[in-house]
Amino acid sequence: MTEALVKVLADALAALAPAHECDLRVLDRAVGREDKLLDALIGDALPSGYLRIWRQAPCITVPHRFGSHPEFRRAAALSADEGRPLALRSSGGTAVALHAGVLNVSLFGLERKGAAPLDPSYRALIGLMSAALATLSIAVDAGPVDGACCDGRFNLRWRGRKLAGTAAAVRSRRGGVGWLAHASLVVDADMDADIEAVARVESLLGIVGAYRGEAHATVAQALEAQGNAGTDPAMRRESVPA
Amino acid sequence: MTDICVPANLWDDGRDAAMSVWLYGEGDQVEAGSVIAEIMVEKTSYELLAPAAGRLGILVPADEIVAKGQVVGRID
Repeated sequence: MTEALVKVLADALAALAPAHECDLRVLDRAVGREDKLLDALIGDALPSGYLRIWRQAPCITVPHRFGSHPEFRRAAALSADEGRPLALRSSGGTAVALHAGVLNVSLFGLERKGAAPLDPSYRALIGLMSAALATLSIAVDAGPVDGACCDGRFNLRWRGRKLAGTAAAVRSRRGGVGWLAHASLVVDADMDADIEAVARVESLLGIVGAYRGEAHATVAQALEAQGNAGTDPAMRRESVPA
Repeated sequence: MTDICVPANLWDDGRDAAMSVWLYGEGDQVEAGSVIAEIMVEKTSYELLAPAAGRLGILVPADEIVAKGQVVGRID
């Protein structure tokens, strides 16, 4: 079911963005492409409003600041041994588990003058994702979720539970200010295992998070709870395991 | 000596920011325009660029609160 759901959501997102790339292969270094695209944006090789839809092989992605922690190497080695290598990213926030069941969506924008419009950039991303989820009749809103990993004001929430997290990076150059707002939408996952892996890495790096599994939800759970499969015939109720 | 300031227009409102990470250490040689630090506003990361080439002096360590326009380091 995961692959069908990922495809339906990716197609819905792609249809909303005239300029986009969609690569659903589960790649080892997909996180790293974010920086390359941000550079391309500032260098006028990418249009403002570009959308990237992508997946990453199992890893725990962490912001650059984690990389300066004295225990980072040890945490990276232990996490890699457990099949989740650490991948540094340019955006903020804390640790996030990525794998084939997580659909990542990145929106790139360029401001020629002034600062990056942060809240509007998050809202634009959330608007796209909300519209994509609406094709499955899943209604979402944005806001914080107490007890969720990598919590923030612009989580995508379903019934008060975190379905996707967001973070952003801003890069200023002579040509303007480029921004990237990205989201990790959990389509299907063993949330307890993901949370445990995140908490283990963070505890090694001195971060104590009181995370609760019930603070999170997946698209598959939302679909099942909704009791319908939206408008796509591939996602009808009978195709969803009980 | 050149001050390293948090640009006054780095982010678009009055929210608090924190020095997230210095990407070079105290006394390291840096090139003009290179990314030397990151500042975090909530979950958004902003790059801080070296205004000149030289040796880096850190005045505000990681995790400290910073304001727009604040001098956070120097380049000698």
